[in-house]
Amino acid sequence: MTASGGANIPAAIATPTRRHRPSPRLDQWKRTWHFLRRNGLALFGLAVIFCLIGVAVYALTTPIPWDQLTECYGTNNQVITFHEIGLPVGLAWSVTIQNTTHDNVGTDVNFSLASGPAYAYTVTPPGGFNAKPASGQVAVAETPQTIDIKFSQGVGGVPVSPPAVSSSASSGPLSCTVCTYPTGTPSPGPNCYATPKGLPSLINPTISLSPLVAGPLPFGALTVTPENAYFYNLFNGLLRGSDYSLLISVSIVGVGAMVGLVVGAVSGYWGGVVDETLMRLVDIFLSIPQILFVIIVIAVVTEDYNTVLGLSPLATRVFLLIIGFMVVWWPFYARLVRGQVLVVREQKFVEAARASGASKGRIVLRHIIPNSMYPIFIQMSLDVGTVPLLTAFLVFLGFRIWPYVYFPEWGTISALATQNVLGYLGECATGTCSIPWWQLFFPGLALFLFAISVNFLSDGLRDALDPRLRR
Amino acid sequence: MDDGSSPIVVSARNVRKYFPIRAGLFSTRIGDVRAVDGVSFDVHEGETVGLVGESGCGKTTVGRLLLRLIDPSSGHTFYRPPAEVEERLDELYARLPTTSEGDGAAKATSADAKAALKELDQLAHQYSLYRKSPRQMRTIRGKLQIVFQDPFSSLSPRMLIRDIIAEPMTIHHAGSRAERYRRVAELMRDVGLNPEHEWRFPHEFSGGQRQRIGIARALALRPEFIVLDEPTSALDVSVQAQILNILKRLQAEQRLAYLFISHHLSVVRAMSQRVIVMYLGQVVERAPTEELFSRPLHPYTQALLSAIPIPDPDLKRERIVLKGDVPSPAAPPSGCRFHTRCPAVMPICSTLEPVTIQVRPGHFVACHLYPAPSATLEGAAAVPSSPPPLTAA
Amino acid sequence: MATSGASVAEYPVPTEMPPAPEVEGPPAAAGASDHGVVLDIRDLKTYFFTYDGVVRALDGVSLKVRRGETTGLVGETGCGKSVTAFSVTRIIPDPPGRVISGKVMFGKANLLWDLENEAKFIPIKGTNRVKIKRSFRRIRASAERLSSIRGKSIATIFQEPSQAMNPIFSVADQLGEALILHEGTKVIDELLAANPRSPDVGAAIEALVVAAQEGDRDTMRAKAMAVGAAVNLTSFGRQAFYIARAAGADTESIRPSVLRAMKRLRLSGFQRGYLASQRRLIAFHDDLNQVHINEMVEGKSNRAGRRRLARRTSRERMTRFYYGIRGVHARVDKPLKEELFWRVVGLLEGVSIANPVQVARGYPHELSGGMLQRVMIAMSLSAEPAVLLADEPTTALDVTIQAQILELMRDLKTRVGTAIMLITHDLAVIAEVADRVCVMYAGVIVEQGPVHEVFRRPLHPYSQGLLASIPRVDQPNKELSSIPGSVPDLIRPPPGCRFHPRCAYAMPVCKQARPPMTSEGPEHEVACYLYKGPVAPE
Repeated sequence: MTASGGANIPAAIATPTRRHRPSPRLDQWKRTWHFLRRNGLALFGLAVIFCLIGVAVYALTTPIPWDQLTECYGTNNQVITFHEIGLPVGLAWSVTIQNTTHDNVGTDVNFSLASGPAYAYTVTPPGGFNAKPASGQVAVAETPQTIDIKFSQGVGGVPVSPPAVSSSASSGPLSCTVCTYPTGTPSPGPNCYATPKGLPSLINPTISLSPLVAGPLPFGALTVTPENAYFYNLFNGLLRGSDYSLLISVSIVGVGAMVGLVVGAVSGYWGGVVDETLMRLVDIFLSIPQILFVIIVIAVVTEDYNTVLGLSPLATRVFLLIIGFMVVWWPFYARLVRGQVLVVREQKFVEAARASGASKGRIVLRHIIPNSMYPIFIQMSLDVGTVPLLTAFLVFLGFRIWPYVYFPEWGTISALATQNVLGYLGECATGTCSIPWWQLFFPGLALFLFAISVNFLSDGLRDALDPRLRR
Repeated sequence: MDDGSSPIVVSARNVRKYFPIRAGLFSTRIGDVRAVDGVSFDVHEGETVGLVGESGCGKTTVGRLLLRLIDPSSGHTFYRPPAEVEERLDELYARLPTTSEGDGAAKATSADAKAALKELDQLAHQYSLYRKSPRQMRTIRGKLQIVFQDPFSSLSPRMLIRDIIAEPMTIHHAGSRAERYRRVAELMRDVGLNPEHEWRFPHEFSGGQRQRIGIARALALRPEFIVLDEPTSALDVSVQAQILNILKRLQAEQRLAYLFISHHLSVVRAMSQRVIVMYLGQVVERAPTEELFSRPLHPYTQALLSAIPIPDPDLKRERIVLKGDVPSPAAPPSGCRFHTRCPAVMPICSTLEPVTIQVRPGHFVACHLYPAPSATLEGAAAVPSSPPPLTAA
Repeated sequence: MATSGASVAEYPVPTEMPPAPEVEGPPAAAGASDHGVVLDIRDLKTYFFTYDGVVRALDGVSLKVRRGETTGLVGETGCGKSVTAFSVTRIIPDPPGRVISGKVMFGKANLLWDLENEAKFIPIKGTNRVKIKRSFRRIRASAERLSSIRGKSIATIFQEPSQAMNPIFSVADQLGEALILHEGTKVIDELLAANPRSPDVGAAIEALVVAAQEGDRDTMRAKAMAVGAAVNLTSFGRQAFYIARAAGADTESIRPSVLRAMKRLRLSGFQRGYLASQRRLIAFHDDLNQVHINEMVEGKSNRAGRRRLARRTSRERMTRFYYGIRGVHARVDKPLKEELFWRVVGLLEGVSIANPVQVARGYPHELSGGMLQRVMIAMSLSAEPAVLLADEPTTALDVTIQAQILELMRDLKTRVGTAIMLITHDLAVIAEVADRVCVMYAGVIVEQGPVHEVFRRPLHPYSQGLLASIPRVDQPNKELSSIPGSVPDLIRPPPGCRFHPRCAYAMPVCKQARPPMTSEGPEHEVACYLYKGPVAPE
């Protein structure tokens, strides 16, 4: 009896062949990789994530020394008013801060300055008068300040010509341009900082505080002339933003998941009063509105330009952001883990461990937790994509959690871009215009790509690791 | 073949376990599932006692109660009581009134019964598993082990099998790390596994091999008593034979006592020296194996034996097929629990619970077909060394 | 078994054998007779293409299932017995499994006729792996074809009955659905032919009341059947019996209750139209099934025919939709549902369930394992299939319940005469129920023959070892012999005879080539070189 369909069975199937099996542990990873490789979307996600990680690592190694860029703080400008006392009406006087001199308007001289610990100021009195204090330092915090200058008739006062004024800026944001130069070469100008070890200028934050006008040109120049004073070109800004997104999401999700895992495992296994208490705690934490809580934490703690743990202002805010989100994030994991633990604890191997005399703690640690981690992995990978969206949303809403307005983070860029676009829309109503759509599109695309590649990768990993899918 | 002359390892007396059924707004207890309702038996060193019954009869719960994996609602399990204590226990229990709940504490009105209770309490304090402190239990736990039915879920999927087998030793800090893993290799050889495979995960093994790993784990701390909870029910016939042979060999080498729980009577017959038949939480018959299989007394045992298919197509038997399903343990029938399905039911069966009687040496039945005679007991006087009858208290 | 005391002859189940498809009649192989063969599996090969390699689950399995006979397929876990059953009905998950080659002749139809075209195997150059290129259109078409056979002509019951039923539908709903699919035209015809105004009805009801007053169950049933005959609908007789039984002492209430129940037979014109439409729909389905079967018999595809019928079916569904909308208040499908309910009760009686009305109204989670397995058997028999594939039906049940189910299966064998292929690892069950037994090992059949022969005189060393290692409840055997070694890895099975590494009688020739099946007695075949004589090595 001949079999039908026997003709096209190639020899490879018809005869069994040897297959080299390496050690079982390595084999697990090879198997996972084999299945991951067959999933195109997961590979795409993996590629994007790898690129982002590479960029983020690079960006973290070439940080922008914000604190040294004295002219480029950007927003959080507060008005510092120098109020004269004892000067007759109509006399002119001025105050100089950072090579910028403002004349008085009425009784006051106003400066709009970004937050900073110490601005040196010099008062130039009118002829024949002395100012007290004639010079000093003012720290700019989150609130406006008024400094009273007492003028008194000087004896033998010589009209002092005011120092040379470089440029008189309006009380808007200061304009500055930042550039980079490789270490070892001479600095081209003020507000330029050295890139460590002469790394290429691919990631080149060329910052100017004029509004976002430029298009998404990929490469910045090594030096900058006033003519091509771009806002940091969009691409660089997006790339620089990736490291913050990754750092924040990974730490929030990682620590939150660990805390949630422990709480959920303990609660699920112990049961009874412990379970009830912990779950009520979880309920309490779940009822905290996430974004509002983070905003409040940051606003309250960093009032008056406070820093935490001796970190720089930027680092403080990053730290507080992470802590704030972690506090509201872990309850989800706790609930998830508890559900899984309730299933795992009925398994026979837990009973076997109890029969061997294992203490509850040991059972939870060695048996329950490793076997309950499966749903957490899925949720973690989803959250890694969600958290940067939340952060971006926060900034987008207008809450300035970053101390610098032109901070290269995806949310910040989107917020500024929105303002820009809205401004341009007004112009479009009248006549010709070109809306810089790209400023809004590319940050959004970056967020989308990040979230979706994380999701693809997690889907692929879950399928590849699932032992139930018979492969 | 041990018949009561070797020392007793565990002795269960009147063990009961009720699980509360909660319903209603405040989860009030509206009743109990009487999973185990007054079970008493002994297991001697080096012997295998078979515990048979269908699903829902409580045999799994009995196994766990004997190891104190769950705590009972009432009753005691005595661990290694000396011979004289064992005799004293028989006397004491004989003096307690018959009751279907608890140890008769509520009904102990006479002074004799109260004194008996007091002494029982003292003995329980000394020897009963359920009165031991957690620290004492820790030391004892190594001696009382269990092998589970399902080889697939009884091994933690994320641990290497060398860690799984070494775990009991790790928990009790027995020996140094090196010594422990040496013993792991030795145990694996004992059960017929290749020690080279210790670096693998459970899912890489077949069912029979996983069951061997479970047995190796149970042997790690040199136990005296192992509860085998349906160890071969999930395995194929030829693998089953291999596992049973391994178990027998280990029993002979290490003088282990087994409680072999199963619903396959054929396997129980091949393995045990004594058999206990349970139905709905109660023991209906206890006898040496050959006695039970050649002369089953209780109607349930007879039905069970006739229901088992025999791998011989030429053998035609008269089969007793019971009607109906097993009643729920939450609402057991009144009187004798088997009366709803019994082919030999009498009017008394629905009103009165039967008393356990020794009909032949070592052969005990609880059935109204064998009523307790008011005078001497048939067969009991002929063998003076056999224990006095246990009442169904 | 004590149920309601009624005798078997009065249950309305078919007493004649179901019509078997015509047998082709291939040339008679040595020894084996081909009389009454319903299912003829020839050289079936099923492989699973996994990451670890190609699992050769079935490597040339040939067996015959005959009408009225129970064929047992016995073997250990992983030997491929379930795979055989699933390959017949093609419910193997397609990646990674694939039926590579073989023929399954169901009467004249080859269930695997389009196998070569469904998937092509392309070797990858430079490696020893293959790429499988599937034609999804053909696979879909094959699946459609088989779905007309599955459930209807070849029914399956599975191991875990609690998982095989949908928990949100009542038992009556699910069995009713199966009934209407499989014999809908008959049901509707009988319903339409019922005549509630027949003149004999009154007298029949009176007789029933008298019998109820006397209290004898058997006469009650007989009189109720007479009522059904008067009305010209058997299921109404059943309903009348249950009404009478439920009335108990209150026999006067029987008459009005029966008359009330008869209302369901008074169909309005609208309801008749609906039923006619339903019948047309079912008839189209039946025609479509016939087209499928013809495709499998002739071995060529008939897409045009299928498309035509599919169009007619969808048109009819639209008409029914219209009925459904308009009939919301007229409860257009109520008579059909009631009729199906009582037929379901009849089916449950046929599988010896003591309280069929309660069970039919209930839900699967309310039933015990044994009861559920009976319900599954009822469901699979409702279509009067020619073959019933039972995959470990009693493994999950207790011993006493298992005894009940086996009793039922023996009863059904004599009454209904379906061919049963019983798959199990329990040789004792085979001894109780089966007529023929095929012993499988590692994807091949090593021995097959009548049950008495194989048990009395097992030829193959594996069968001998298997029988020797079973503990017997009627013999005090303390020594359990076991077969050394373990089941081979099916990715790299041993060359030649797959059992030779564990065999006590292994010879050099066993390593070289697989032994063919040789006949060693009337219908008793074995694949072993011990019985063939050494083959000259190539």
